[in-house]
Amino acid sequence: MRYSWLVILGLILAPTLGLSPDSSDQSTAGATTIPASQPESQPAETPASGPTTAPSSQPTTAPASQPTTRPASAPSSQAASAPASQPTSQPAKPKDQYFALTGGRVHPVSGADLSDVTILCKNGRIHAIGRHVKVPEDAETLDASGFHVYPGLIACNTRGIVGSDPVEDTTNVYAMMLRLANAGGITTVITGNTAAKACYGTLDGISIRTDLTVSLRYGRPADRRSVRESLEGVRNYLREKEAFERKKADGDKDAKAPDDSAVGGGNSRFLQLIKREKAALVTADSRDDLVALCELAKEFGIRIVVRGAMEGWTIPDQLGRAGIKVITTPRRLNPRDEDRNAASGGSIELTAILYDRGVDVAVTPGATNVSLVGLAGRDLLNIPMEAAYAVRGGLPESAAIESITLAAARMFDIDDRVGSIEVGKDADFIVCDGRLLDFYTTVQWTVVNGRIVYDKADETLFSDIRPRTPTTQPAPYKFWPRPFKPKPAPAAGEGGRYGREN
Amino acid sequence: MTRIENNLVRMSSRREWIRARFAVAMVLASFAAATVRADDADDRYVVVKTKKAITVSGEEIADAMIVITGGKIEAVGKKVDYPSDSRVIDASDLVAMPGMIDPHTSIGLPAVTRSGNQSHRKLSDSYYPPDGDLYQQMLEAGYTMVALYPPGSGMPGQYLVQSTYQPKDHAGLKDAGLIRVLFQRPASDKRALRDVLKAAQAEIDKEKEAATKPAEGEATSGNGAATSNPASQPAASAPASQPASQPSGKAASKPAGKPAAPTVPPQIETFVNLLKKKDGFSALVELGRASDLLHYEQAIGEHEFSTVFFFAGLDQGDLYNVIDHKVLGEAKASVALRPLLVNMPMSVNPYNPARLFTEAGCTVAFFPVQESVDEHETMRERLSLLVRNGLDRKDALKAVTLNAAKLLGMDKEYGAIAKDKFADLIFLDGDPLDPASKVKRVMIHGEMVWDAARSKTLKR
Repeated sequence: MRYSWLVILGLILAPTLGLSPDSSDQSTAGATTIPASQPESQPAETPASGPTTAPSSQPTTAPASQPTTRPASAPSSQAASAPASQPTSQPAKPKDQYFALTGGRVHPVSGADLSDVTILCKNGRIHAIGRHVKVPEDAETLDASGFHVYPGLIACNTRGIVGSDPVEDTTNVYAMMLRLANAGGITTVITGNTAAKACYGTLDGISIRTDLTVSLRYGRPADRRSVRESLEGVRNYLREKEAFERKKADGDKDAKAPDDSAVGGGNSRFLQLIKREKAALVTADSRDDLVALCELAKEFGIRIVVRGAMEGWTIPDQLGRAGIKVITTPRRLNPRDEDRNAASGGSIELTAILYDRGVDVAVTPGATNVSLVGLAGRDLLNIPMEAAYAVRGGLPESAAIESITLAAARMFDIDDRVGSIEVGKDADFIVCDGRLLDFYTTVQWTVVNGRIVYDKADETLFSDIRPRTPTTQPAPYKFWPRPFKPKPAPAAGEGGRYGREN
Repeated sequence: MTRIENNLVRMSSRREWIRARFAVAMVLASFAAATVRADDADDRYVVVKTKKAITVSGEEIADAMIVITGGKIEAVGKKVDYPSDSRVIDASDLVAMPGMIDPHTSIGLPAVTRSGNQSHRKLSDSYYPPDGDLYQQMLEAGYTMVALYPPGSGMPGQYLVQSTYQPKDHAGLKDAGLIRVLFQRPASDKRALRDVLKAAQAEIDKEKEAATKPAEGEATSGNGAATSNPASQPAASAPASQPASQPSGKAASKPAGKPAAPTVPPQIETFVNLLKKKDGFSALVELGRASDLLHYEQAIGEHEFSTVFFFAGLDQGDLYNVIDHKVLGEAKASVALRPLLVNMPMSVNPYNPARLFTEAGCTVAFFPVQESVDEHETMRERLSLLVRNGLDRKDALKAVTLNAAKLLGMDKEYGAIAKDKFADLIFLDGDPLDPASKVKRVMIHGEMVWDAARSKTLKR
């Protein structure tokens, strides 16, 4: 927090200084001060200066929007063809899809809040964030003035929202469940061991990553024994292998390669654990289990993500020192065990205490799908309410928002793609009509991969909740649900008839 | 190899047997012909006078005359010239329209299902006309043609188009080329379709490669004609029949050494034909819900072939999402629907998919809601409901006649009252979209095959 002004400054200046990832590797000359994120205005100015500064003009003439896929021979012809409109100058490449979200209060989670900025997305990724970002003419825009913009929420444990593995072959993209997930602000779902996008109406870019974690059982003594044996086997193998290679390097011809059965077959996942390529996902609630996991993490140096951790508030320091990450469900509270002479049971303060001791903590509701019945907020339709409950237990609001976005992404090693509003990450946002954790707040738009997948004004499901109109005006629709009104047939060459109506 | 030879032997013996049977029949027929020929009126023109002729392909003509010769329509109009010795049928109190066509039914078929890729198997190979009066009932409901689909999952075979009048147990009207592809469980169907298309494309590429290779060798001898031939043909015929044209022994032995043995598996071959856009070949893809279309699109990738979409799962209600989609509305695709209004998901808002598809420019045909003759009888009533909900009357009538024929690739000969089309007509005592009107007469290939006034067998 001490350096938050630097972050603000950096984020505001990032596009101006050409710090967006595409341009940073290209502007090697460093001398240019021309904003890299203004692809449209740039070519028009260059023809005069282009030919004179031949070698160093490449970054300036090359608009930031297309350097990564530019063919090697292109820059020389760029100056000549510069006045032509930029996106159409490359016939072989599909046209870049731009999306711009303007105005509003942006909560990037990874840094301090921003206001009155433009988030420019290109081909589903965030391309630039700043106040003076030039938006291409063909970009789809969304004016979020007066609204709050957050990164899309991540549901840590879902079933039935997208299909099973492989999601791109099994998902019903017009499923009501998917619509409801988007309405609840969810843009990323973890289902089974797969991370997928909840994007209504398209299969493009639905899969984020598969095979996320190594699922372990570490409750019963037999489970613990077998896990430890496997881990020890892998560790011994690695040690023997290292010794063998050292011997070989020394010229010892009698050296024998270690038996690699310890890392073959099903044990390969333990090798991934030891190498810290993947985290172990363990469900544990009791203090005993958590202590055992702390020891395991420390002994083998593996990364562990614990689901549940209800009694974690009794040993927060141990969890923090062991580097264990935790996914909590704040409203899941068991009573304390009266027979034990120690702290036990659930606590509303669990998430706050863990966060306070430096444990990376994510929050997920107890349900795995959207039910539309039962107590409000018990299911995925209202993830923020679960986080708000953690705030009730003392968690700072910013940490609570992080716990359902960026922290949740970190649990599954997908924080390079989703979880915050940063240049280079996926363009997944939700636009809310209030603070995210407020009970009255509803999601107005959901954007996934730079595409609006949910617009409350178009949706009949929640039209009983007042649409976003000034309260002085009567509500635009009297009845529920609103009638389906197909637009009149378009003139030739115009867009589809069932697009958004506003 | 031996199996193919066996088949050939069996086929040839079968053909001989058929020929023998044919000869016997000819002998018998020649006796009969002597007596029948005298009053056989087949060569004469048939003229039908109607109250109204709904041509479907054109306008509705009041007091129209339809002139028919050789089973085909010669002319239709208010005043048409016809030979004086024509046989005149007076139906001036009836409305004529083309016989209705059901593009998708399994009515009367045994419940034998196939699974996996059996796209080479024709339904006609295992077809026997059902017992009873099923077809007669369909005929009386106004249906003159039905396309029977092979039941099953995956790619269970090829459709059989059958006339409802005196269906034969062999080829019917069309028995090849209409490949049924079910695509309702994308998890498995996607993989299957991808695999078969990949295999078919590989065969085509192989063939192309083989066709260009000998051309390179023969380019020196100036024999350019061989380039367009498939590889198997020069390989099989060249060494035997035209040894002189080959430049040398080496070049001659090269194609002969590997006789290419074009053993394309038959189930792949159907898709090879499909991808080559061979005439009459088309995939009839049955989708369950809107999402399946997106999966289907991913599965076919860059491939292009003639496709008809059947939407079986209209009850899902999510179809409105994809009507404008690239392969449907934009491509002006052929689609077959059930004649239903459906509700938007989770709502009570009905919409008319047929109308939306028609407005999007698609060719829309209807198939009955259920596999029963009752639904054939209810079809006109359902059409009237759709018309009341915004579907154009002309489009509604087209959807059960001309468009259905178009889906089956038979619109050149069936589906409308127009010149050179078969005179498969139905005559109603009122407007076809009036549920109270009844089919009174049915004509197949210019022959009046059913008349409600005279029929005593089936009073309904």
